[in-house]
Amino acid sequence: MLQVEQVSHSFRNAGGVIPVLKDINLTVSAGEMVALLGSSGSGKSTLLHLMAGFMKPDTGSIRIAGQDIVKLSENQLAEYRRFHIGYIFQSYELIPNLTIRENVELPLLFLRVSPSKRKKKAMELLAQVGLTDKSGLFPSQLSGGQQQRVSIARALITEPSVIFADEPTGNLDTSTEEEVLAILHRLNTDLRTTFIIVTHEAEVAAQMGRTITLQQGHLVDNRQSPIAM
Amino acid sequence: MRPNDLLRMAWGQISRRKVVTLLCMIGLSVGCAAIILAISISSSAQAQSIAEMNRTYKMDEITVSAKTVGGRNSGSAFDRGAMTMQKLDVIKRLPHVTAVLPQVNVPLLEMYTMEDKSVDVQVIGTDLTMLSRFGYAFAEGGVSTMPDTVVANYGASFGLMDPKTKKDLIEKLSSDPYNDELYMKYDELGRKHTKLFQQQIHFRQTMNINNANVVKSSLPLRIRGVLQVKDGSSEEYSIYDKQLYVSLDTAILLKERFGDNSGTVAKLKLDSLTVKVEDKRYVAQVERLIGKLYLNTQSNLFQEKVIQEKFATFKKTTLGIGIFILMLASLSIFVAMTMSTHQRRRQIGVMKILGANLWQIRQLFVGEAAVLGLMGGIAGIAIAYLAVAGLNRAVATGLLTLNVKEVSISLSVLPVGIGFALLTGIFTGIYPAISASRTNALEVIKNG
Repeated sequence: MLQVEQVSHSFRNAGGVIPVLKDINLTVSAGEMVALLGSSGSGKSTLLHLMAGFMKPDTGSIRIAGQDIVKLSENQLAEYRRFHIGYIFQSYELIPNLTIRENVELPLLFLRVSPSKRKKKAMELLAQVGLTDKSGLFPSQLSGGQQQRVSIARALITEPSVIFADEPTGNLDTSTEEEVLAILHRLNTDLRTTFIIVTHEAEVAAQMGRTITLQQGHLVDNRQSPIAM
Repeated sequence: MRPNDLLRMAWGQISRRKVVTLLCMIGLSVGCAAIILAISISSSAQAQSIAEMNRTYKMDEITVSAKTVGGRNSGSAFDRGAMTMQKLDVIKRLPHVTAVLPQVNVPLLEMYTMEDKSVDVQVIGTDLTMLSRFGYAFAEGGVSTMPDTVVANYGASFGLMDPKTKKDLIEKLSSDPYNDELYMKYDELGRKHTKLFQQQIHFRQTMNINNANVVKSSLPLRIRGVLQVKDGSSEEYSIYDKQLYVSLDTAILLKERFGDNSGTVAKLKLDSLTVKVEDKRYVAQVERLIGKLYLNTQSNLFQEKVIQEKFATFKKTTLGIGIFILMLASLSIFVAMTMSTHQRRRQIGVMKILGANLWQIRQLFVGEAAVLGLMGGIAGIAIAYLAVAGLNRAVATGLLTLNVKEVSISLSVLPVGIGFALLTGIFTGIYPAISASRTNALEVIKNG
């Protein structure tokens, strides 16, 4: 479903070239729940951004559903993101002047989906994350955990093949973190959606089906989590 | 994106960013009002000049005269340029001609009443039924089908006096031309009104025949209509303009009686014609057709051209000033939109990550600028109306001197004002829109 082959990437600054990822190879199957684990500066977020098509690697290829996204133009990448991926931000990134329902509908606006279909779909997803009664509120009226649930619903609305989540529980307290992870698990089971989640917390990674560990830009471990076994 | 979604998103931003919206609105509305005012002032001035011109000069009328070399009575049997009754009939049937008023001038005659009061008048033979079509309004009576009908103009009712008084006064004035008292008396008599309606009158003329003065009189005629002062003329001036209108048949009889044998109506040569055209835009076309009859024509179209040329420059100048103000005002929307783009970089980044492409991000910003332009335009209309009301009050009370009596805003100017504001909004929104679409989504998400 997702294949990363020989991907290397480096950043350039005044001090010179800083290698971030070196010869990464990995494969993720449909319906998997994968954690990208690593300490700060290990390259896990860079790998996530490369797989989500936010930037292009220096070398290597990234194939999603058979298509090499490295070769796509900016507009083609926008289309790719629109149809194939969902994204969950650490700090939720909801649009403050839109209601909760409108925030969830937002990706469908770019697909020119009719308002009635958008509304129906958004309400279904808000029901799945337990926020039906909050649909008319604005993000500032919700707690952090609730906002992250809205962000999850928004990521799911285009029915993407894969959802990338960048530290989705990073801003949440422990109980809310568990609540959000439980929702992700349920959605993974119910919808068979693939999740690739970046985290620096081993406890969070341990709850995923597989954990890929990065260290100084190298893939050092790729194993099934005990929970999956 | 669907247009409705685009508008809703734009409105969401506009209503949320009140300071930015206010800044843009001030600039655009002032600019739009400046354009509406500029056009309205110049249009009002032009409209008033044209109305004044239409009052002074009849724009839908053509004066036709004979094209005869050496004068009408040159003695030639065939006079190609003469204005005959046949040509009159042809002109009446020309397309867009609504009325024709022929004119045959009878030499100056002395009109006298049954009380033997008299005054010198110009007698004009014409088609009496056409008078009302050419702006002659009756104060008393009207046109009659009776053959002895005479229509007197406003001035003909003034200055009638008995011949002895008149002779005495003229003789005294001749011997003492600087006597103010005599002059005042003569002037007073000249202003004295006599009721002419339904009066029986005669014409007379003293002629020199075989070295002897012979007084010839006409058959009696009756005043069956008295005209009002002609529109556009002053009453003061009108009392010295003394004209009597008779039918063409009567004019021939009078000419025969007083020495000019023109024969029958069919052989009559007209002195002039006034042709009324359906609309002034057909005047040139009718003039060309009349010219083919070998006749001279004169209209007042050139007056309008002179005014239009004069106001074209004025309009361009005022519109230029309006556009300049709008350009200055557009800086506000440009600055505000650029500021807004910068503040919303994170939001733009999120939208790009959620699948918005370059075009959709640009659409959002241009849509927002267009809505701002539209709102600015509407506010500009309100400001323009207030400004015009203030301007008219200032002109009316003498606080301000303007070449326009009253400025009015034509409804047709409003879409122009809104259009300018809308276009300014869109154009000034293009750069911020492009700049927004180039936002590096990842960069802003990472760095805020």
